[in-house]
Amino acid sequence: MNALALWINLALVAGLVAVLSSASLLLGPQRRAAGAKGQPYETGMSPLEPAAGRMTVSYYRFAVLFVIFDIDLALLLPWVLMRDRLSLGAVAAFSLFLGLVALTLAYLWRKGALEFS
Amino acid sequence: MTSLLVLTAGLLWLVAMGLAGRSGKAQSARAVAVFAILLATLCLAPTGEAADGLLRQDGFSACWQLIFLLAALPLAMLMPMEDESSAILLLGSLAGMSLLASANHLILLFIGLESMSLPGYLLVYRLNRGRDSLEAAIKYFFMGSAAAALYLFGASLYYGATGSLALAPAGPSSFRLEFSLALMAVAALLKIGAVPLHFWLPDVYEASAPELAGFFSTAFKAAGILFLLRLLQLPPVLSEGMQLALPWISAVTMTVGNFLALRQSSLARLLAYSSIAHVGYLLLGVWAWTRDGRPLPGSILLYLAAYLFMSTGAFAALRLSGLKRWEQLRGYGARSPWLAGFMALMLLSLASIPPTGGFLAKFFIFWDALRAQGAGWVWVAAFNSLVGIGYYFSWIKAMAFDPADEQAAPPAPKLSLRQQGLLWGCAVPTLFLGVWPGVHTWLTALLGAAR
Repeated sequence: MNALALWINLALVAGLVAVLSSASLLLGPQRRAAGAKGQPYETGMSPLEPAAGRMTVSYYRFAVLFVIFDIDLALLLPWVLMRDRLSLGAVAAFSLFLGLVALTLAYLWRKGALEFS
Repeated sequence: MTSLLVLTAGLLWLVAMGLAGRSGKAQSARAVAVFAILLATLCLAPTGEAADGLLRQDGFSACWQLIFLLAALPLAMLMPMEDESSAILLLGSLAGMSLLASANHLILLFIGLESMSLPGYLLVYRLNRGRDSLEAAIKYFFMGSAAAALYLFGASLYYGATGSLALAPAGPSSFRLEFSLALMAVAALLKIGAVPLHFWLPDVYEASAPELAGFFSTAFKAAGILFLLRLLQLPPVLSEGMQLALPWISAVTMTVGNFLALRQSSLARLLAYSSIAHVGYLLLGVWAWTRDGRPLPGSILLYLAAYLFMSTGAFAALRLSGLKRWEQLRGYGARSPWLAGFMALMLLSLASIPPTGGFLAKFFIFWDALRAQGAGWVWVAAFNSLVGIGYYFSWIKAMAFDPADEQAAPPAPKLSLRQQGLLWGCAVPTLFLGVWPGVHTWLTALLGAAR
């Protein structure tokens, strides 16, 4: 791998993005659909409000909590699958990690971070 | 390693305190934080590799951890606390820094970097709630995210080039390797606020509580410099590229910082631009260090140590006096002579006037740069020091000689014994570092321990 290959790669990426986005602009249908056809499809109902509205910041908290437990689970899965071959040290290390996550969750609970108001 | 464990134990203790939910938490949380910091300081030692070589606690790690802990102590003592959460954030940030200092792996370095920075963004808003600090915190967060993205991109390219994420001298030089290291170096420059990546810095320093700004200007910058030194230690390739770029970055950084500081009317903002200028001098030292074949960076450590005491002192004086704007300085010397005198000492040190630590530190940086055949860059830095004297001395002049303005200034504070001790703790080392040139040799020997 040398410098030239990387530059060619970068140029290809930039070129591809430019070609694809301009192609859809040039070749795609030009007309704007009017009436009901132009509206976003939302389970058959007419949209209630613009999609780019503001979200409550509390959703963010739940997103973060979700990510934490998602990663927790992703780490837990191989641990369970390998349970027969793990040394005591590995079990202890992972239990420590789980304990820390649980402690953090308890702290957040106590601080009212899980209340949705 | 032990000090990292002590900090983590303090953190868990604070979390448990929050869970137990007893009353009078703020004072005991402060006590726990201060105690954990002091105990961690006592536990500092270069102990070698740990965790299968993922961590390496060498002389560099121990010296830099000492700087972090000393910088956090005044913050733990001064910061307003409602409950234990600010103390948790502070200890979390400190644990991240300690990890950063002893990380021997790029992923651990990243974890250290992020767990150092994220509590910092939160503290900006938490210690000084308001519209400005919210804006500053979000701005700081975005700049930090940009640094993280650059770092991760660089680290992934590094893995592609070398097949390993260990922080060890890599194989043969290639364009991809150099590019990856340059990306990570830019992330480090963003963390220390080198021009042109400095835009977040004055806003953050102005909007956050002064003691927190002091912590940012000392601990965060020291962490960024250590990060940069670790990267530059890797293979010789980056050093060659950086040898061309660093003196220019350094010269532009100090010039922009100093000239913009001349025009500030907010004192915290002035100190922020002054800290940008000091980063410029530090980068000159980093350049001389790479040119010199990367020996033990005693001059850089001395500069960081001197800057630790003078910057912490200057920001602590701002916090304790309640001064915010330039107009309030008029006649402050007559109103509160001791505090004004202390502030003047810190400013003299920042302006690097002997016999203060700032002078000796800058002397060694210039000396290193001269030995690295950088006489031209030393002239630029010397001219910049002259510009710096302009605003530091007009600050002192405004306090000492201008007629008092009765309405403008806040009343002279009544300092508690602890606060007086803190000011002495900044003033004595500042003077001491200025009269004992042997400290340079001593620090260099300290850095060389257990390598």
